[in-house]
Amino acid sequence: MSTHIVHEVKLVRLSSLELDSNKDLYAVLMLSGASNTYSGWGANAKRARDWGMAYLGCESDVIAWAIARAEEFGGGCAVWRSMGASGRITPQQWISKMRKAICAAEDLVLPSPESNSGVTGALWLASKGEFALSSLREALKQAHSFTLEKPGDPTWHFLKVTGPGAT
Amino acid sequence: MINEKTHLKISFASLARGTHSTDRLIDWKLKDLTSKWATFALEEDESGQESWRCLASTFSGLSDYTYGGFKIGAVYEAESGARTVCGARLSAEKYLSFLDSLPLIDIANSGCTLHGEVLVPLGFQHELEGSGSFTWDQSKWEITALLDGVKVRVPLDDAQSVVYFDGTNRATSIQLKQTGRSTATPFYVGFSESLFAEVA
Repeated sequence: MSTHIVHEVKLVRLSSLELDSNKDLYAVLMLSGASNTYSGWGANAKRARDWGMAYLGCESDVIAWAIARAEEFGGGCAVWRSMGASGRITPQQWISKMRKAICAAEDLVLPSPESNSGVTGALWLASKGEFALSSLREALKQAHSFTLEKPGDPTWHFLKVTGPGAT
Repeated sequence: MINEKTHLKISFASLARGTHSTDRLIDWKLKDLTSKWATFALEEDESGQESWRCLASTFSGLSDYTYGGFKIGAVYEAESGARTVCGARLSAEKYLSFLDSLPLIDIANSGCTLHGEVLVPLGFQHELEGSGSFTWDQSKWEITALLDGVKVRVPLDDAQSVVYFDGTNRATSIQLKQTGRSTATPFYVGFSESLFAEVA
């Protein structure tokens, strides 16, 4: 059994005008990995961790998503930054971290309607998988439609996120 | 809208005293009763109807009501304002801290009786006989035949029944009935009033 190690969470705000939604949306960008997945070999092996878009929703939906995931931190299925005792956080600490991340969210300005990538802070976002040929705006719209259709479901498969800390 | 009027976090520790079994697994489970607990809230709905609900427990087969998925469960209800505690609206974090702060009251002093309900499907009724070399004492159990199995109602004031209920993975609910006053200190004594401050 593996534990999900969450190393970093950053939120980007997408203006309602950009995605034709009635509220501003937040993309939850998470640097995380499984405790039993490594990259490299032997002495160079390091726990793998990647950036991804874990969820996309309006502010209240992101909090609801954080609450639903909080149980994992209480039960030891997820930890914050390390596998040791220092990585154990309470469900309420996790929800607080998400609230702070919402307050600190940066705006994502889409470069052009057709562009399939964009930059926010140190992170580079691009559409991926079956959406690779779509624009970033279209991939985000598809992700939003997906979360409306399947509330609470993760949205890892819509965007490739590249940034510091990934191994 | 649900208002939680009062709470009981019941420990089963006293049931472990003086119990032992020659079956080593059951003996370990009897001793492990010291770590078992269940948290209940007396809920009042908008019509004034009151009922006890088990919010969380250490019973492995019983789903917690605290969480239940996306926009489901007591924590989300507290956050969204659909659930209050003693009339006060709490954020998800404060609600969880409040539940954590409830003191444990031993079942012997709780002033209530607990019953667990288990649904055993057809083909699994042998589980009612025993576990390993241990034979369950069914004398206090209410067993009702259903079309697709049996419903078992076990009193949770007896060690081996609690061990059965915890290990079955077929538990469906716990019912709490108040029979008297708890001899424990009320939960709100010593509890920070700031926790009840209105959330922004």
